[in-house]
Amino acid sequence: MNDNQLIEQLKKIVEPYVQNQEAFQKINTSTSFIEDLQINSAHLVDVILDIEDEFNIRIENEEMEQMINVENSLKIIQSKI
Amino acid sequence: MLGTDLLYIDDAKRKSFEKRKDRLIEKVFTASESNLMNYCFSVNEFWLFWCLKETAYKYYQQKTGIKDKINPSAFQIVKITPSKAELLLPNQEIIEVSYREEDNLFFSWTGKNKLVHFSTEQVSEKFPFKLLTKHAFSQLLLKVKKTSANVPYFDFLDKKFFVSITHENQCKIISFNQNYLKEFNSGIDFELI
Repeated sequence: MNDNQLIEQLKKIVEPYVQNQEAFQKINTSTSFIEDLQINSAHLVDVILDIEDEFNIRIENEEMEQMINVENSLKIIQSKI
Repeated sequence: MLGTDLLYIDDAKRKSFEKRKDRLIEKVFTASESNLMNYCFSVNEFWLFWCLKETAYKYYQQKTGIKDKINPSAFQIVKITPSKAELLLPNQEIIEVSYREEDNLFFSWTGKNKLVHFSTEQVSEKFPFKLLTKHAFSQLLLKVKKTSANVPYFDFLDKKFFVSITHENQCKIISFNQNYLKEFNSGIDFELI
């Protein structure tokens, strides 16, 4: 699965939690979940759990810590699928 | 250094907890925190604990300048009473966090220093606010900025004054250390421009 396909899947996961639709439309590898998409921090763990479900993977706490933007999330997902 | 958090338990948060309680608890809490709650969290307790951890995280972020991270289990609740909690930070510091609960709304703040809270539906870090200095009777327009680590502050007399901002839905709260006001014999007011 290439980065573009992964980003499309990631977009579907984060969409329900996004508060900045303009940034969401321009989502790319440097997009930050908190700063750009303005996802409420209380929903970040929901995003992580949704990623686990979607890709059938398990994300450890040390990995979760790094998943604050699209780029880091793609790296961690890629390493597990 | 200060931190605040405001959290409203809406339907989305309630459903999220009901849907996958065990996995959420595993991601957010340490074994000793689960033990503290006898391995039995209600939805309100879960989100209260989250609120306290977020407050401690903001305090720690101000103190260390760390960039955004997601690791709620690194901020461990070691003691809790009906109005206060003690949290152990990654640097082994223990801080006190106060909290209030009303109608599914939690508000918490670090408790070492006296804080001044401003709450309004209109205040946003995007808008400037007035600093009213009693000596000069002047009004300065200040705008909240953010450090590279995302820590909010405002510039005044070549110094950085850190604030803590929290928002949930339309409600936003900006908190200041009361010592700032004493230092300049000043008051602070918000006004939309």
